[in-house]
Amino acid sequence: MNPETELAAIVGAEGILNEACEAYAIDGKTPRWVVFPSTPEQVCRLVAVAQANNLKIAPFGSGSQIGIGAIPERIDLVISTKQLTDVTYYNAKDMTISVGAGMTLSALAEHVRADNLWFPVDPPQPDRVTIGGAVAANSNGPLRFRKGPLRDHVIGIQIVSPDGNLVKAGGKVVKNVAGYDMCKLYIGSLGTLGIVVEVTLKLASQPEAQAAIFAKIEEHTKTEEIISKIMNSSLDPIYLELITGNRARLLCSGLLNREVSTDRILAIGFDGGRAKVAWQTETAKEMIVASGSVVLKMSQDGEAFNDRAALAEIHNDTEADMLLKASILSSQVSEFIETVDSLAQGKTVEAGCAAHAGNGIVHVFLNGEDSHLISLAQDLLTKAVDLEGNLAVRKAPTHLKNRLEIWGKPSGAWSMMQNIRRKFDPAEMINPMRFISAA
Amino acid sequence: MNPCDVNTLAEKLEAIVGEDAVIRAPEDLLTYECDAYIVHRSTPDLVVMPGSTEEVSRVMALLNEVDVPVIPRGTGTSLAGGCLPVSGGVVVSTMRMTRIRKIDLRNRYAELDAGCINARLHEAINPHGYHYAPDPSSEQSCTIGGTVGTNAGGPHTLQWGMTTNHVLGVEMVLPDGTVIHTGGPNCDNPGYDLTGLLVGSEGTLGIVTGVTVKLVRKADALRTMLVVFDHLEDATNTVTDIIGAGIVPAAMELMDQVIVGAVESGLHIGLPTDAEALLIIELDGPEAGLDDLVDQVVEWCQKNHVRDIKRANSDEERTALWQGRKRSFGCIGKLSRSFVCEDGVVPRTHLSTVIREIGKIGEKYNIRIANIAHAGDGSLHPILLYDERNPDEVRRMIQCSSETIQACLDLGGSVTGEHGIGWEKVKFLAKQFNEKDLESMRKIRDVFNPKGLCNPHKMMHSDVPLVKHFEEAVA
Repeated sequence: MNPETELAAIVGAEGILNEACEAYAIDGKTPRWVVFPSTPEQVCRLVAVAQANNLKIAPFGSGSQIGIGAIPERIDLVISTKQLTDVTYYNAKDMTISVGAGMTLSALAEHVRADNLWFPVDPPQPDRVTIGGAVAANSNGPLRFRKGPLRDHVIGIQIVSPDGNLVKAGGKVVKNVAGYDMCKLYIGSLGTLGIVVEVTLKLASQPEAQAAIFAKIEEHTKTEEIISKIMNSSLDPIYLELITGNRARLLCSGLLNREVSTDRILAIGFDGGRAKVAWQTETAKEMIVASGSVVLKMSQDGEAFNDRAALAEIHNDTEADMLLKASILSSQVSEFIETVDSLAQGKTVEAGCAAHAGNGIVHVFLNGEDSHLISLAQDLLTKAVDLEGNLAVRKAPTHLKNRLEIWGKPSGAWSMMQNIRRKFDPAEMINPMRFISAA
Repeated sequence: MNPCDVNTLAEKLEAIVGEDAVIRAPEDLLTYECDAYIVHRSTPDLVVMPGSTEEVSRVMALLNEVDVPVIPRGTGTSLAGGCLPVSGGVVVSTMRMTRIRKIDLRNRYAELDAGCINARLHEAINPHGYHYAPDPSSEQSCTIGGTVGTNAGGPHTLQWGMTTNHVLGVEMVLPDGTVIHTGGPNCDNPGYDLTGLLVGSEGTLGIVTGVTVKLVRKADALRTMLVVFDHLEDATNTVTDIIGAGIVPAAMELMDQVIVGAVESGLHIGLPTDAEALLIIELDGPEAGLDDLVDQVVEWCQKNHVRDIKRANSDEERTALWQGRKRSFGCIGKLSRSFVCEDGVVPRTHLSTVIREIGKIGEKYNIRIANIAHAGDGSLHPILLYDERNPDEVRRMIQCSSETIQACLDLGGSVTGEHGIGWEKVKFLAKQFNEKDLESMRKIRDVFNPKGLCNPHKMMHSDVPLVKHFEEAVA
């Protein structure tokens, strides 16, 4: 039987696209079909058909991060999670919820808001990003500094394995050490171990108060000193960000509605009890002023919430030709950004950085001519490795990908990861060659 | 193994680690016949104590070559039989690997040998205003490697999370002797989160020899109070209300009437023995606003019919308030000759329900049960009291234990919140997960531990033969 007939039999005629699939292309590989299952069981059956017909699959949430990874061998079938949006479990007093992989972060926020709850993970584009996609790509935002990344909030995952079975990991309780922690393995696995269809999350109560401070660092050489002082103080920020270059100017015009000549902004946020937040805001302001920096804006409550959303959005790569992600130490962030600036200047590339400064993660946004982008990416990988860290390419034009080390310097445990991939998906049916590849 | 093979093997191991690092004498091997789960025992054939990762690697390669089961062990504080040599073999202990390799306060991490005792790390960093958050009750004696093996918890996981939320990287020796490094002090290294997979893997994927841990800033101030409730439900409702209000205490520990009775018999510290539940609530943070939080917490307690609140006004008073909780296990001897400490978890709002249910199960089997709970997470430790010399009591205790674990599952919880599956709860893993779920876990074990000889029969059974007296236990 023609696979299309079998696929349509599962999702219905209205649940399958067999033409004009370019919107779902990945690195120029346009799928033959796109399907929109409405239940996890349909996903199982779709995977079984794919296996029987040797089709290559790519799971697809919103597509906001679909460009991550190396060029796939080919993609025959895109499985969209768009219709998987059910809330299958929700206990507001326990603060746990299970939702379909296709639910956007904004829809999730809306669902729990009335119970004074929220989900404290803030990648850019929350109205687009699906929880399944965020889990698959390990997408985080500024709040990771204090609230922790996704792995600290995901307590259960349902996944359709490459052999077409619905498999459960974790559970519905916040403390659970039964069996291997498969949730950790699935987070960031980019679909290569299975298709995430449902996620169970730990939620948090809305804080009584929140605040945000944005400061311009006048003397760049003092950046590390300021960050270090804040980290070693009694302050307990929920985020600590360093935004530089064209990203800083973009942030300023969004926050302040005016042009400010700056290319280095420090952003700090607080939440919790009102008195605690007020004290921390005042204390942080004093520290910033004492260091010779200039406070550009301070905001509270609703406005601070919006400012944090604007800050999270600065990590959005839509306008950049290339996005690199350096994983280094917090104390090395300032030095790394200096290197970005001096290299970019030398190569006439437009550069800006958005760093989770407390965590040592630097997103480098680049626009420029191909050969300059390649050479800058190579130099920055060398720099990151010299600092005993690493650098991955999160976004790049397809025609440049084969000239880049997409995943940086492979970790010593890379071969173990390939063994796991081979065990779970021996035919490399899902996202072939894009991530850990045993081929 | 037959004695001749054991002697030959011992000599080969001594050639790697030195003569004084191999234990052969039967009377010395007895120490390793069990861990803190004393219900089942089995003496290993040998114990070896390497002094470095390199020695561990050579030991593991040798044992793999001769197909001898390996039992990784720290200081043997497992409460689920995680170190039980059920297939015989060689215990590989990290007790001689105790170095703190590096501390980087600016970047908030430390690198440690797996055999480093948690308490030693605290001593090294507390004076500088930093803290390693996971605090299992055994922290004075357990090893960091052991806590990585079980993904240990403790009272302060409410605010900070479990061991897995504080481990940045792991150095592990695989069963074939290969040394791998996962993660590191920097975040988001490209690749699968193998670090997250290895934490809580209970020694079944290899032996952890080094750990990179995350450090956090110590809070400036603490407020600790002991809160007395006539009714259990009032205590657990208070917990739900506090967390629902957006307050995240550092800890919220519940002690029931039975455990309080034991503590009073042992320590005479003036705890009321006629109340159904006591809560220890601890708040932390900068001084600013802390007393406001205390006032809010007191209001919630009063709304839930609290009988009495005792606040600590000094460090000494704080230590005194915690004393009853921290020394509770030591006091159980006042009530009973032996005990088994169970470990279940339910959704937080079901905590009272499960404690009441466990009370009924105890009555059914005529086994007295004391309960301690990390009330904020819904995690509880029913402590089953029995006399190990009485076979009938042992049998009733085991049945009682099975039903308490099932009660947690029935309420949507997990069979283990902190202690791990070990040997004790292998059959329960199959109740919590279906065959397909378990198959995915077996795949992981097959990748790392293809012969199945690294800590066999922990977490899941395998084809590795058991020593005779365990065969009935499995049947």
